Amino acid sequence: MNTEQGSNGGGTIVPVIPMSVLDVELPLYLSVLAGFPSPADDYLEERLSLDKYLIKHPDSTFFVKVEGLSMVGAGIYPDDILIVDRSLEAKPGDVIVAVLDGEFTVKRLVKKSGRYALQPENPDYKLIPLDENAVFTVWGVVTNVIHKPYEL
Amino acid sequence: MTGAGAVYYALADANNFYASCERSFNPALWSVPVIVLSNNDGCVIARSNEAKALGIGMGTPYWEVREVIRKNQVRVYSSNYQLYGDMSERLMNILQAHCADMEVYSIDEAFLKLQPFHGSEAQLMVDMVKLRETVMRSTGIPVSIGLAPTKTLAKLANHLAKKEGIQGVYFLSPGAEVLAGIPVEKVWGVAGGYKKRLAKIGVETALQLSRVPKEWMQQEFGVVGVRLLKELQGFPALGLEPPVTARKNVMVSRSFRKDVYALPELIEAVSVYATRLGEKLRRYNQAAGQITVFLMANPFRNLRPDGRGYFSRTIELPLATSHTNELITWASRAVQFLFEAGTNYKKAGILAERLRPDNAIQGNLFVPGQGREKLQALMQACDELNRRMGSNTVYFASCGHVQKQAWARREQWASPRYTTRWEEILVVGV
Repeated sequence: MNTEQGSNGGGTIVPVIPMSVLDVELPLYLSVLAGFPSPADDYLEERLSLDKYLIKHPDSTFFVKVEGLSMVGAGIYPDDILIVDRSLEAKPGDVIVAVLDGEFTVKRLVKKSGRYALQPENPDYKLIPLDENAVFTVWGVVTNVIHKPYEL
Repeated sequence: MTGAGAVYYALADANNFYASCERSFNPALWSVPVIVLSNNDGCVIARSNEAKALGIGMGTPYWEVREVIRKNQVRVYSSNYQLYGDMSERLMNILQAHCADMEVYSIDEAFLKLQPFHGSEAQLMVDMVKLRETVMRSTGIPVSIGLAPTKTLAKLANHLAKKEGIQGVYFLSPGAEVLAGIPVEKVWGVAGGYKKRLAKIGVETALQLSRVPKEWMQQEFGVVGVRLLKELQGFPALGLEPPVTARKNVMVSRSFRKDVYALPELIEAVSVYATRLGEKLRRYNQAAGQITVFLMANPFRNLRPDGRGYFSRTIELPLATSHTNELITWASRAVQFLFEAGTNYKKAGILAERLRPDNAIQGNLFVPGQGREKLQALMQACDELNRRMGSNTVYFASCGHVQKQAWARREQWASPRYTTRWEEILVVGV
C-alpha cells in the first residue's frame, strides 16, 4: 500500500493513509450504463405463441392422436394430432370426437332434413345416421389438426 | 337468513374423482364397475358407484376383494397421479372462473363463497346446475354441489346432493327437516369423543345438535363447539381459508413391492425418495433444515424377535438444503445407522422439516459455503432436463438403475398419462 510513514517524535511509527487513496473518484458517465438503448424498448410485445393461438380454453382442451382413414377428406390423416375443446357445444358442420356405442370416433356432425348424422370424409366410408336407438355422446369439438406435410 | 343480501357457501366435490378421471378418457368404463388402487396397488382408494354397489369398501386391501372383482368383471386401475393432478387443476380453474372467492379443500373439492351480487337463492341454484354441466362437459368429471348459508351446512348439503340432489345440486337451509335423518357424526368437525358426550344428553341427529343450548356447547366444547353450533344454525362462523403459500413440511414415503432385507437396496430406495424430496422442495423454492428418515417392517409378517416395526432417525442439517446430493448423503447415513440385518423392511420415507425459503439460508461457520451456486445451477439443469424429457432422464447413481429397482412399487394397471405425456395421449380410431 502506498502509505507514508509519519513520526510523532516518540519513535512510534504510525501508518498514515494518504488522501489520494481515500479520495475515491466517482466515474462520470456521459452516456448510458451499457451500450445504446434499444429503440424497440417502448414497443415490446410478447412473441407469438401457438398455444395461445390454437387453444382458447386450456382447461377443457385435450390432444388426441388419430388412427384410421375415414376423415382424410377433412385433412385428418393417421398420426395427426387433433386439438379438441370439450367445452364447445357441437354444431352441425363441426368435426367432433364422439362416443358411439361405447367407442371413440371422429366424424363431421351433419344435419340433413332435420336428422343428425355422423359423416365420414372419405368415399369408402358410409354415413352413420343418429337415430333414437344410437347410444351417442359428443366428447369434444375438433378445433385444429396438427399435421406434418411430408407424411402424406 | 335467506333472500337478497345473504352470503352462501357452495361445496363442489367431484364424484369418485379418480375413477371418474379414468372414465373421462375411456368410454368402455362408463357403465361398468371401476376401482382405483393406492400406491403399490395395495388398497382400494376410489370406486365408481357400480363398484360401491358391489360392497367394495373404501380402503379395502386389494387381495380381499380379488374374488368380487373377478366375478363381476370390475375394472381395476393403479393410481395415475400425473393424470389426476392435471384433471384436478382443470376442475379447480373452471370452478374459479365461476367464482374467484374459492378455497381448494382437497384434490377434488372446493368451497365457493357466493356474494349477494351472485344472485338470490333461486338464481344460485340455477347457476350451480349450469356450473356442474360446464365442468361435466369440459372435463367429463361429474361433481356434486351443496349450497347453504355456512360451510358446515354446505358440507352436509353436498352429502345430500350425492344421494338425492336434483341434477347433483342440493340446497340446505338451517333447521331443514332432512337434518333429522343425519347422524351427528356426519357433521363436519364432530369427532368420536363429541358423539359420546352428545349421546348422553340425547343428541343423535344433526337437527337435534342444531338446537342444543349455546351455553351447554360453550361449557362442554368451548369456542369450537359454539362455532359448530352457529354454523349449523346458519350463521357463518368459518370463512374461506387462505391458500397455503409455504408448507411446514414435506414428506416422501412409499412402501416396497416386496420385503427388503439388504442394506444396498434400502439405500437405493431412500436415495430415490431423497431425489423426489429435493425436486419437491425446489419446486417451491424451499430448503430443509432437518430431515427424519424412517423405516418400517412389514406389519403383517414381522420377522423380528422383538416385534418392533418402526425405526427413525432425525438429522439436523448443518446447512439447510434442497440439493439432491446432500439429501442423499444424509438420508443414506441415517439408513446405515438404522439398518439391522434380519428385519424385513416394507416401507421407508423421509420427512423434511424446518423448511425455509432457499434464498434465505443462514450460513454455518463450520461449513464451507462456496460452490453452492454451482450446485444450485446443477440442480436447476437436472430439473429442467427431467421436466422436458421425462422424469429420470438424469438421476444420481446411488438410486441404482431405474429399470432394475427390485423394491420399486408395482403399478400393474396404470392408465396412460393422457394429458402430460405426448407418447401417451388418447388414440382414437377414425
